[in-house]
Amino acid sequence: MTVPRGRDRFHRQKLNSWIGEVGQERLAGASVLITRVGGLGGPLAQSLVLAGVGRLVIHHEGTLDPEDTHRMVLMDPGRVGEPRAPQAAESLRRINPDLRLEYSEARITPDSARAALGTCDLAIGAAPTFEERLTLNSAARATGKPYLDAAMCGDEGQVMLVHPTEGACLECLLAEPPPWPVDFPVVAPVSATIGNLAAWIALRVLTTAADLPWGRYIHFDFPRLALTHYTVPRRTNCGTCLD
Amino acid sequence: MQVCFEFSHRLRETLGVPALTLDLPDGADLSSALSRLAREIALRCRGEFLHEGTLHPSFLIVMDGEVHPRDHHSTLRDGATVQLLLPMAGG
Repeated sequence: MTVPRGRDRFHRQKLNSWIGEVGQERLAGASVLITRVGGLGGPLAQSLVLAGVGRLVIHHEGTLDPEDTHRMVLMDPGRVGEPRAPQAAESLRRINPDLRLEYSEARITPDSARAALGTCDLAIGAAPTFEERLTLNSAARATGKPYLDAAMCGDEGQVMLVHPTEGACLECLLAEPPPWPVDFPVVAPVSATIGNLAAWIALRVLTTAADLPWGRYIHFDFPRLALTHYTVPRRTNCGTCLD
Repeated sequence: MQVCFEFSHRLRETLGVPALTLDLPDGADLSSALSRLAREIALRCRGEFLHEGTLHPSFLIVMDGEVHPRDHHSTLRDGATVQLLLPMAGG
């Protein structure tokens, strides 16, 4: 592909007033921790790398199952049975060979989350368990980093952006996590849309754009074509906020 | 008076309806309305959305565009719509 002289690959992106040259430089210098890069986290990570985020740290355990391949855009259907994290890393490096990328095939823990966040600007949770999401949420508050939670089920999705120090966190929302089925329904356009909504918010955070939806629960109901958002009240007995 | 409760995905799929409209006594508050709703849900599905006979505590209760605590004692109005959103963990 020929790029007109004087333009770089991000020329059209920098035409967005909230990005520009300064924002693009911020993205190049940014580091993001993501847990799981499957049906939702895969498109999310893809968009961050396409946008020029300079460094990703990925945690994704497990091997590729045949039933993953209808939605996991970073995985190779020809490599069923192989670990997922290296496949995701290869796909992301193909998008941007300059990407600085570290990956782990281990599930995130409180210790590994805090260690990773020592060198990251933002944590993003896209794991299929509340446990991993709450682990990241707590680690982000403990290290003074923002946390972005993105999730889906069937034809609905949600995104919540948690401020490093103020307002409600994910644990305020989840006083007691509800039972969660392993076989939750997924259709790729929904998981990819929610992933990309979260990616857009992540880019806004990393470029320090104005009017960020801190502490808002954003809910997308696809059949109703309804995107709504609500301020989550801070819970007085929230363990993460009390720490 | 009548109050409509709208459900998010998992509860909607389990109950097989997107919403339930309940007849409530005039002057009913949100707390008592949610207790009545919990009894209706218990009649229709197994208990995964309930916790000790009440709605699971992780439901977000949204009315008039705002999240309300479940023990809210403000009086409901005839024709009100209350949304029940259940946080998700699908990735």
